[in-house]
Amino acid sequence: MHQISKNDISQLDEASQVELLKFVESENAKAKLQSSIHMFTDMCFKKCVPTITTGNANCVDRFLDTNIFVVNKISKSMQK
Amino acid sequence: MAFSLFGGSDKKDSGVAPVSGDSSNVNSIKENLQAQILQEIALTNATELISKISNNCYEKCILNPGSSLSAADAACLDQCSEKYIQAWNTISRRYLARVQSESRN
Repeated sequence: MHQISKNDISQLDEASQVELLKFVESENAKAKLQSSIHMFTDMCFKKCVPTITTGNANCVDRFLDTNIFVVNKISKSMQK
Repeated sequence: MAFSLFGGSDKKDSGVAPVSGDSSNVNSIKENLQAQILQEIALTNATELISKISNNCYEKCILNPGSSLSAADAACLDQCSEKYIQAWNTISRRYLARVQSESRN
C-alpha cells in the first residue's frame, strides 16, 4: 500500500472527494469516542475492581454523571 | 483474546452516485485512501492500548524490578492484560450505549 499523495486526491472527481471528506469526518468522530474509551478504561482500571463488570460500568456512568453535573453547575454560575 | 476495535468496518459503498469518466480508477483510488485511513486508525488504537496496558500492569505487577522477568511477574502481567482488555470491552459497550441513549433524548 503506497502513501497518500496529493496526486491521488486530485484525480478524484468532486463527488468522490465529498464522499471521502464525509468518511474522514465519520472516522474522526469514531476515533474521538475510542479515545474517550481509552481514557475511561485507564481511569476505571486504576480506580477499582477490574474483575467486576458492574464496577467498571458504574465507574463510566458515574464519571459521565460527574461531567454533566459540573457542566450544569458551571453554566448556571456563568448565567448569574 | 476477544477484543473488538472499530477499524475493520465492513462498510462497502452503498448507493454511491455513479462517477463520470474513468470510474473504476477513481473508485480504486478512493477505496485505497479509505483503507489507509482505517489502517492508521487501527494502528493508533493498538498503540494506545498497548501503552495503557504497559503502564497499568507495570505498576501493578512489577513491584521490585529484578534482573529478569520472573515467572510470577509474567503470570501477573498475563492476568493483568486480560483484565484490562475485559475492562476496555465493558466500558466501550457501556459508554457507546449511553452516548446513543442520550443523543436520542
